[in-house]
Amino acid sequence: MSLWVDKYRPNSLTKLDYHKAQALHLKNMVQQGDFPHLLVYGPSGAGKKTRIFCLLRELYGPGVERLRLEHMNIQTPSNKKIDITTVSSNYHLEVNPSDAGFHDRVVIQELIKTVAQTHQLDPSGQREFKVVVICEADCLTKDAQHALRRTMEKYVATCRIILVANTISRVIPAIRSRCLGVRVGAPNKEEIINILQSVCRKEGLSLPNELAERIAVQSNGNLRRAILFLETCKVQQYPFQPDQKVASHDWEIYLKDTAKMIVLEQSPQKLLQIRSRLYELMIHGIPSEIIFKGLLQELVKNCDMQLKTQIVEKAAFFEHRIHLGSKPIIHLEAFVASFMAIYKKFMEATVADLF
Amino acid sequence: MACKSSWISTCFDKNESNKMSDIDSQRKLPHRDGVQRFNGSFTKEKVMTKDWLKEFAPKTPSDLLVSKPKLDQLNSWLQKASKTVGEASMLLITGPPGVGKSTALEVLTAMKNIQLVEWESSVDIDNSELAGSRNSTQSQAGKFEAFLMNSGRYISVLEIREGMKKLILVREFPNILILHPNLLQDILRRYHVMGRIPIVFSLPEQTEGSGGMFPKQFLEELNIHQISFNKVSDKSVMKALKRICMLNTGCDVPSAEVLEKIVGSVHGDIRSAVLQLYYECMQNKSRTREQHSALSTEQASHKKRNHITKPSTLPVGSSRKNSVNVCKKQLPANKTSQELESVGKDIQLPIFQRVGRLLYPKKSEEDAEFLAHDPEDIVAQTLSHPRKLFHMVLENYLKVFRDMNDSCRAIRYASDSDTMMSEFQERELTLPMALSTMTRGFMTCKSLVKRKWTPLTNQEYFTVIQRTRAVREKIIDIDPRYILVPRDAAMDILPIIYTGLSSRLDSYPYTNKICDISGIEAELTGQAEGRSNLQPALFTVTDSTSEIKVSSRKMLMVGKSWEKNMKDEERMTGTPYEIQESESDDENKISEEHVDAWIEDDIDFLDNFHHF
Amino acid sequence: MQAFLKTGKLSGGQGSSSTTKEKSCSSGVSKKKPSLTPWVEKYRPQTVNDVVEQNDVVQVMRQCLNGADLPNLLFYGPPGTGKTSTILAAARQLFGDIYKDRILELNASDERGIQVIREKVKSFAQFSASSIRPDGRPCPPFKIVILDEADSMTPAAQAALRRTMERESRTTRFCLVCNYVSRIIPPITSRCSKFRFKPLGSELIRERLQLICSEEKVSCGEDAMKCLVETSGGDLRRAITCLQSCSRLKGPGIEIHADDVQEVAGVVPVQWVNGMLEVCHHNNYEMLTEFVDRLMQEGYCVAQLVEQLHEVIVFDNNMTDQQKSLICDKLGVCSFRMQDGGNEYIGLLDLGCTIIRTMKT
Repeated sequence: MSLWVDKYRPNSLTKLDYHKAQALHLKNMVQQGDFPHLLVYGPSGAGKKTRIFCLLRELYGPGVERLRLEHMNIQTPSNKKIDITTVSSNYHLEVNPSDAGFHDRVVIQELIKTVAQTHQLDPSGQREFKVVVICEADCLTKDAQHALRRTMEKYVATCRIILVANTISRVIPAIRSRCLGVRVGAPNKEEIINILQSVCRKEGLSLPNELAERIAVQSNGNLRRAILFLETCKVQQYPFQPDQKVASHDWEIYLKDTAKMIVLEQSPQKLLQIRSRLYELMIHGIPSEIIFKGLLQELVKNCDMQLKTQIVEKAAFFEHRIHLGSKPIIHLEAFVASFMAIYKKFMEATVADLF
Repeated sequence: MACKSSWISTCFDKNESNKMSDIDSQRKLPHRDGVQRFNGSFTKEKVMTKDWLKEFAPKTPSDLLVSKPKLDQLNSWLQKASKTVGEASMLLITGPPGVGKSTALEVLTAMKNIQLVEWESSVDIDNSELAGSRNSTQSQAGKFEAFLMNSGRYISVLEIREGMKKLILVREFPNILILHPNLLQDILRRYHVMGRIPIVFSLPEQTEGSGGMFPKQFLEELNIHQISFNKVSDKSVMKALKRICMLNTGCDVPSAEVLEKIVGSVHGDIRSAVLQLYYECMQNKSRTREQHSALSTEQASHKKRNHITKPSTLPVGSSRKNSVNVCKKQLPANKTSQELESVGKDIQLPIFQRVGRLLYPKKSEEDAEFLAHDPEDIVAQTLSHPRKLFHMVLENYLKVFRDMNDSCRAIRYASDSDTMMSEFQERELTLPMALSTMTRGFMTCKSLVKRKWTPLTNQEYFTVIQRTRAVREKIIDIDPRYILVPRDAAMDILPIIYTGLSSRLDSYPYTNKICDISGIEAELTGQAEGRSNLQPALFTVTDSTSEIKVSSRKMLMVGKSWEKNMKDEERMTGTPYEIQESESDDENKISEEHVDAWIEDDIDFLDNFHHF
Repeated sequence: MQAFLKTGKLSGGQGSSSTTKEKSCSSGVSKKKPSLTPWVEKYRPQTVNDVVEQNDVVQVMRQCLNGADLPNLLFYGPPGTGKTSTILAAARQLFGDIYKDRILELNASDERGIQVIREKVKSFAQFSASSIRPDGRPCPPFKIVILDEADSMTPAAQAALRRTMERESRTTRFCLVCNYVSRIIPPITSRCSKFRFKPLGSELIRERLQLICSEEKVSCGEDAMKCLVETSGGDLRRAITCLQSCSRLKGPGIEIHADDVQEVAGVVPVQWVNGMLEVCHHNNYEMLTEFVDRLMQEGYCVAQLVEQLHEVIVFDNNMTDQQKSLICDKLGVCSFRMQDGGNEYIGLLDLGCTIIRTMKT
């Protein structure tokens, strides 16, 4: 049982559907027997993890597919116990240290130390190093990144690190310069359509090109989302209709509606309602920056250029604050409140001009 | 097994030891201090050295500050319990600290000649010795159960002969039982079957719903009677203080003004009221002495005699000597400000009031340019639990603010404050600054509007944490591949395979289009029979706004009764927030502490989750 | 004690990393997989004379090699200008084979609290060094403690270091290596001879790269070489790492192109940088969002883009100084926010809006 997006995930570098030149380069590199630390970056749903997985398979063979889930217990210097979930095979280990929040530094140090100090049990193993995949590396605290930079050098003999990040602006230059950056851009529309078609072929379905195109447009370059959309379309209605509705995720609709509500009325009471909706989104794990982005996109629609500039400026200001502070909701709310104040003033001025 | 061996060996001794430690503990248990006190014959010189709490503890039901109906309830339960044969009755008394829960019980039991046996969970060397080497590792829960079984099932021969009845009083529980109410409930269930002696539980608070130690179903299951005491009204506190003043002729008594201050500051906690009175009297006494020494020797000697024999400084005292009168007049004149300080020194404003002051800033009476309450006071009192105030203000400010610009400014201050507060490395420095920014910002940025009472709530953040955790767990449940990328999982995978959780959410559109992963699977494998139990139209997304229900979160923890009560009070006092929550406020106090504890616990968690 | 032992062991590991460097330098050819050695290590200058461009320090080092006493040293300057290489080369020349016994390399790692420094340095400096090498040749009678990345030490640790430096001055010389001298507390700087390392000139980098290319048999086109030099910004280490990564990615024997270099160096292609300015000229918010969207999908590093944008704007002839300063102000803010983790999309929009507004005036 698995979703199509997992079922039809390519498992070798040669089978990747796009950025083929890059795939070839990676293959070259692996075939030389060694590679430096990698920093794989690109937008969400562009296939970073897939690429890494293919790379690992190329490196270690099918053994990396035998994954197991492990919980590690790590104790911080302040005696706080942290539970960290890792996914590992005999050859590699995946971890998301940002799970541990402020303690991610300890996780990085301890984990990599453990991995690096345990030598490969199997002497016939082809490689003398293990690979640690660090997910969401852009969410690491600066502290952890500094620790990482050291750890990377210290254990370079027994352990290679692959960092996965959505954006490398947040990765400190010291790490960037120690890694080979691998940029995985989002596939373009044609590539997505091709992939959707090939998925449907493998499923034995026929996909009208119009529908594929609309799915591709709606997914906005996110391949995972495109395939998920395709699958929900299939659940919804098959055979496909060219004019079939493509359902976007409900949180996106919810977010859009929230923005619409903000434009309709500006008052503290409304803001109260908006807050509970924002909370609702956050509860469901929608990152606050995505909420920010979604709100911004929707809110500026009815504004003139000057207003837009103001609003974007506010958004940038408060979005930055999220990363400085500890309660995203406050800054989100502050942004919405700012918008409301600006917009209300603007509307009142417009109305006054009319009469 | 463990408890069995211990009761065989030690049951009688244990009772003794318990009683002993009870006496040792400086509690105000009147019946233990012997008969003399009932005769009321104590000498004046001794007064100052005694514990006033014990000294002036109520002796008769009429002295108690508990409201009549509650007292009657307690009385009738005691009567019933002592008659009941067979299964043990249980009673749960709840109420805010210092209202006299235990005192009431003690007074009544003393009258009925019932012996109280109290459980003490503090680690007690005697206990572990008694338990013997084999059982030295016995858990606190085990000890608790053993205690109940020992004292609850057997009545010593001596006691029977004297016709004494017994009652077990439990005022504290071993920590393990607080953490795991299930264990406690199991123990009590067993006791319910085996025990014979009635038990009274006296708890400061009782949480509503299932969260507490005694959930409603459980109370019903074991037929536990519950009496919840209310906060003592200011009038009653005053009455009690006056009574003490009457009884206590050993020293000067503060003026009525001071008494009022005391009453005003304790918020219905009679225990702290008595302590403050004691403190005041001590001060009075020393001051009086100083003043006396300043007087001429002749007068002083005259007065001293007077002072010792009859220092009739009762506010209502009629026959006063001249010198005393002089003294009395001087005192309030130069003392008032000090008195205020001394009384106000230890006041910790309840969080509700602090939030109230923040959201409804009052201008100073003398000068409208200034605030009536110093923001720094609030800051100083909040330093230990900054987040709580933070959350409460944030949750409530929008209900109070009327103007969009004001709200915008206020939240901007909150945003600044949060940024500062997150500066962990210089926490000692930034925390007061952050709080000050927040407090002053909120107190000054509001243009004056009509005050309208809105109940303060403080559960929103907690609810959010809980639900976030639920979603988080959901992520863990899905394909392991996505565990490490919660961001992606929450945005793409969860909305697709959303299942059980959504049924609990009433405000999120997820609810409308549950898609069971099994549904997809069934579709994939083409199992027709699996289709029957799928929801029809799995993904009927309609983008009309109307379909999305506006969140109707039931986060108001303040019950309606309190709200009503508040309004009444508001009429009387004119200030919406400085209200003494008196009668029928059972609900508002509910889980302030609990929520706080949860919040502090969960902060790391939530912050991390949102930090991705 | 336990902790000390532990860290001591770790430092051994750390030290051994420098010793492996050494080994691979001396016997790099005989190794089974020569490609495994980072070229940066392989082509580290072996003698002080090999150090390029840093004349002052080279001169002092030469004197020291000729028997003069070595002062405490403070090397500062941008990364990749040869700070660590210089001191390592000097140590190697000074001590010869026993060089690894005579130096202690401490990095700005987790284990650099005050306590650790004191203990480690103490135990290291405890035994006085003889002035004769095992092979009978003379060598200076001291040891060298190299504190890499010293600017990331806390002021408290630095203050502690001050005392240590004084106490151990008989047997030990300190060499502090850092990027920003302003982060070193004055009491320390006054105890050291300071040397500023200048960014390397492009000709020197090119020379060095060409040497490596011919050694490693990498075919590197002229445009690629130019690109390498440009992107390095005077950082030789970066240039060499980039070259090695390119050659590994492409596989042996295949020519490296400028595109590959750009990709590996993480440089945003020029058309995107200019595109950003161009799209701002249209004074159209929708076009801006569309452009930003496409850029985000490509996954380029926006912080890098901002940096490159800065270059372009500063040297733009069509803008007034007023406009430039306004835009640069925003560039700074954006860069700062993104370092803190700010969203790239919103930041870039903000930047775009500012440029549009400034262009209009």
